[in-house]
Amino acid sequence: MKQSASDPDIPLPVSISIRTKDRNHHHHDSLPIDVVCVIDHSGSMAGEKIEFVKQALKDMIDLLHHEDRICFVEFDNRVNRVTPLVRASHENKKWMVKLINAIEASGGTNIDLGMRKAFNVIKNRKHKNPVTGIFLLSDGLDEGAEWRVAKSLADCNIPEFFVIDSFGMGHEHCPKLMVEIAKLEHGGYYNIEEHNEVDECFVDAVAGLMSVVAVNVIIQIQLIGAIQMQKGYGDHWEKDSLGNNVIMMNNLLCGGDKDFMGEFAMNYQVESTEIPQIIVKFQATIPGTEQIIYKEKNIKLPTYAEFDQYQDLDEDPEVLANMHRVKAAAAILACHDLKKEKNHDKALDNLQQIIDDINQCQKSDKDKMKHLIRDLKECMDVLSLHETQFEKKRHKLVEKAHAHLNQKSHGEAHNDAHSNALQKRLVTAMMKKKGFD
Amino acid sequence: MGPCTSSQNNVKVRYLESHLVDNANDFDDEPIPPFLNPKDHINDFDWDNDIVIDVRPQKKGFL
Repeated sequence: MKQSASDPDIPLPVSISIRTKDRNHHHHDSLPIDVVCVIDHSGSMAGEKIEFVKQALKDMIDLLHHEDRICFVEFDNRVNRVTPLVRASHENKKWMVKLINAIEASGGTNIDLGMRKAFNVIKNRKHKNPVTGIFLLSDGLDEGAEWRVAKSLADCNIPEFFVIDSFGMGHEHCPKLMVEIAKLEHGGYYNIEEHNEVDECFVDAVAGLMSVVAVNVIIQIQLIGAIQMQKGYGDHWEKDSLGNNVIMMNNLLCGGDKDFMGEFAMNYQVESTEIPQIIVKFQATIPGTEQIIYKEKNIKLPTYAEFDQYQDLDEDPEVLANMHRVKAAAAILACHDLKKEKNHDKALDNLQQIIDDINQCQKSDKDKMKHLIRDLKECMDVLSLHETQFEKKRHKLVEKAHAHLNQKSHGEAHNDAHSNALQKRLVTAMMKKKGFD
Repeated sequence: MGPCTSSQNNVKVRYLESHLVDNANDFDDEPIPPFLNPKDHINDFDWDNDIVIDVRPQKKGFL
């Protein structure tokens, strides 16, 4: 529908993108990392699950360079720091394998205890590698753990930047809980549907840490003239102390391609003599240094007099595809809740509506969204399942929504469009080792 | 305040148990060589040119 310049709050979707060159590097040509693995070894992990996790931890250690350091924390309803933060030297690797082999499953699940320990390990370390991550793996439910972990994190007040990647194993874990914990430090959520995929997910995440080229990324959005921001999609949007909208990321990976979507609104009823503009100021720190990189990009938007001419221009297919992507992600999450409220028909109608909207686009634009349509159809299949089956598969919805909302790698597919070359190569090598092509 | 319920007792026991096991001091991380220059590790990435930001509105071609 064509808008008039005199309408209030005319919607204006905008994409703000960061592209980083891929390095195609070897995993040993990366910045040294500190990684703390927080592993649930409660009774429900007994049998196949704990054995796959143990093997995955050993495979991950194999990838680490002698300057990388690793710490293992195991928790049930108690916590045990299995190893301090130690270098991945040849001798240490042999020692760690013995300790990993000794992990046994028993007890309940208290995620906060494990995470609190990990936060203390990071806070109290005397030496610091330039890139740090916490991997949390759990298969269970722990109601309210996201609040307790958030409080523990705030209490710890850790000055350095690190990410939390969460790995939900099996169909009994709570995907939203794991997403919320990962979101605390802008990390990813991996849904490990098949137990034998845990190694691929760990490898994807560790390759992500090995691909970091900048930390503490802050992208400030300044608006001039008759434009306002209404909504930012994804977990990275925040407000700074001056009330500006900002996008925050703890880590920036090489080979990354991130498009942050915002809904802005032109409002020419607000009197302003200035030409409407969006100014984007990027800053990030080179890891292990105090050196900050600055970049800036401005775009001018139509004035009142130019608005009709602007309306007649073609849609930018990239912006269109990204807007459909984030709206679909939000809808998938909403449908997860609708299904839980037994409003199954409305959930299916909502997703079908998004597919219909995409199908209205020109063919070339639609082609850009074929993966999105595939995922939406997969989500509709999950929503159509009987309640007990849905409970086992609902993690898929949260995983798809989270991945599309944040363009995150989710580890389940080695050809994931959002993985970089190192992630793809190491995950593919892991799959080959297991006999998958 | 009334008597401590069974569930409160369980919470207390759980807390104490967790702290009995969680006794490592975390200050014992293994030293690493000093980190001097990121280019010693990454020599194929140019921070000035290999990070590109872009902003695009809904319609293309407006300058």
